[in-house]
Amino acid sequence: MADEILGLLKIISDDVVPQADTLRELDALIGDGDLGITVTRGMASVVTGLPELEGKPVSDQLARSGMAFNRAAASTFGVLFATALMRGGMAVKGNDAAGVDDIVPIGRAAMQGLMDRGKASLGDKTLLDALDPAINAFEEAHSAGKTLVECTDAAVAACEAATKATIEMKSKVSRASWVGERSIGVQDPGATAVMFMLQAVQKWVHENA
Amino acid sequence: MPMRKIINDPSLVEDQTMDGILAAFPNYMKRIEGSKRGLIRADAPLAGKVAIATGGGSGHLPLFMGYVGPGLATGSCIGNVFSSPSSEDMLEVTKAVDSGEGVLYLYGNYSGDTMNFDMASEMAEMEGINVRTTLGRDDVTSAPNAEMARRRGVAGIFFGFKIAGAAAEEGRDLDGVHAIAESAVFNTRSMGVALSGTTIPAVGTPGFEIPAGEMEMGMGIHGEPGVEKGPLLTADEIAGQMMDRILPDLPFSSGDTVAVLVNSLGATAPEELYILYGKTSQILADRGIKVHRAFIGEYATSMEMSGASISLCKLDDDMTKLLDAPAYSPFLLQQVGGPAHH
Repeated sequence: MADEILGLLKIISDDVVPQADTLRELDALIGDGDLGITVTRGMASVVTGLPELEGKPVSDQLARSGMAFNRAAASTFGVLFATALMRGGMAVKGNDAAGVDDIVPIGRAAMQGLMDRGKASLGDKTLLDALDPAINAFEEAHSAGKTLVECTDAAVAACEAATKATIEMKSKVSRASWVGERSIGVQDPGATAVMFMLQAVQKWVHENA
Repeated sequence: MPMRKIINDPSLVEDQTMDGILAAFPNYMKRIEGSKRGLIRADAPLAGKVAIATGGGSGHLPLFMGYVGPGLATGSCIGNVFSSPSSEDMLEVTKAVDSGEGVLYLYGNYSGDTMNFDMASEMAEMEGINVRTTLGRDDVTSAPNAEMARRRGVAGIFFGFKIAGAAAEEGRDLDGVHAIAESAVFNTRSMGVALSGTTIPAVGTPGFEIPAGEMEMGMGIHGEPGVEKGPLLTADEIAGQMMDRILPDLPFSSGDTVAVLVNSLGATAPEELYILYGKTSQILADRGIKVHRAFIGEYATSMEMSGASISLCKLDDDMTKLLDAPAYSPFLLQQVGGPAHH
C-alpha cells in the first residue's frame, strides 16, 4: 500500500462530503455547527493535494494530507484529523509502503496522538469512542487470521455500534461539555464523522482488496 | 430566508474582511508573506521586546485583528468564521513577530484554538522560539468556579491584551509578560446575554434562534447554551442579574478598584450599552467598588448577534498603571490613555 492511501483519501472525500449536512445538524445540537463545513472544506483541500503526493512515502502522504485538511478547515476536528494522520504516519516512517500488518500500529499511533492532542479519554463522548473499538475489532480479526475484507467489516461493525452508543453518553470535554446534560440523546458528531470515514474505507476495501 | 449580509461570496468572507482591513490601515498592519490569514503590526518584529500573538475564529471583530497595535498584541491569525486558525498559520505569525525575546500566546479557551495553538507552540519550540500561553477564561456562566479550566474566554480578554500589551511594550521579559497576562485574565469576570442568533455565512442559516421578546442569559459568543432562557428583561434587571453572578465569583469586594467593559455582541446599539453601564456603575458604587475606567462599545462581537456582555477586571497598582498606558489600534474608539475616573 503506497499510492493506495491516495485512493482511500479520495473515496473518503467522495463518500463523506455528501453526508456533511448530517454532521452539521448533529454538531449544531451540541457543538457549534461547523463540522459539516469543516469536513467539506478540509477534504476538498486534501483531494486538491493528492496528485503531488503520488510516489511519496506513506508517512509523508498521510502527514501532508492531514496538514492540508487543517490548513483549509482549522478547527478541533481539523487539528485532530491532522494529528491522527501525522502520528499514524510516524508508525510507518521510513517504509516505502504500508501493508495489512501496519494497519493496527498506524491506528494505535493515531489514537495516542488524538488523546495527547485532545486531552480526552475513552468515555468522554468523542471520536475516540468510535475509533478505539474499530481498531480493537480489526486487531482481533487480524490475529485470528481473517482476510482484510473480514477484518475491515469487523472494524466498521464495531465502529457503527460504538458510534450509536455515544447517543446515551454525556459530553465531558471540549465545546460539547458546555451543553452538559443536553448532550445526552445526541449521537456524537465527531464519532459520526469517523464512522462515515471508516464506512468509506470499507467500500474501498471491498472494491479493491 | 436569505441572509441579511453585505458580502460577495460566503466562502470568501474571511479573506475579504482581512483584505479590507489591510486596505484601510496599511500604515498600522501588514500581512505575513505566505500566510493568507496572518496579520501583524507593520513595525514587527520589535527588537528587544516580547511579542504577543493571538487569534481565533473570524466573526468577532475587533477580536482578533483589531487588537494588533502598539501597546496591544503584536500579531494575530484568524480562522474561518467561528473556527480556529490553523497551526501552520499560527506558526508563521509566531516566527514573524518573534524578536528573539519570545512570544506569548493570548487567546480564548476553545478546544479548536487550544489544540491548534498547542501544535503551533510545539513547532515553534522546535525552531528555538520560546512560547508561553495564557487563555482567556472570563465567562462565569460557562462552567462552575471550581472548573475554571473549562471556562470560555469572551470580551474580557480585552483586559489581557491591554495589560499584557503594555507590559511587553515597556520591555518586560517573557516570564513577566506571561505573569501579568495570567493576572489580568484571572482577575477578569464576564457574563453575556443574547437576544438573537447569528448566521455563519458559509452555512447560510442561523445556528440557533431566539424568538423576539426573549433572551438567553449566559449564552456564548458562538451560541453556546446559556444558563437561563426567558422573557426579555429590562436593562436594569439584566445588569442586576449579571452583577449577582459576576461579583461573588472572584469575588469583587468593597474597597476594590475595577475596570468595567460593556460590550455589544454586534447588533445591540451603543445607547443600550450606556443604559446597562448606568445601572452597573450604580450597583458597584452601592457595593463600595471603585471604577477606575469604563470601556463601552464593540470589543468582541458575534457578527449580527443582538446582545451584550459586561466584564469586570479587578486592578492592583501594577495592572492599573499598565491599563492606563498608551495603546493604539484603529479599532479602539475610546482613547485608552485618557484621564481615569479617579
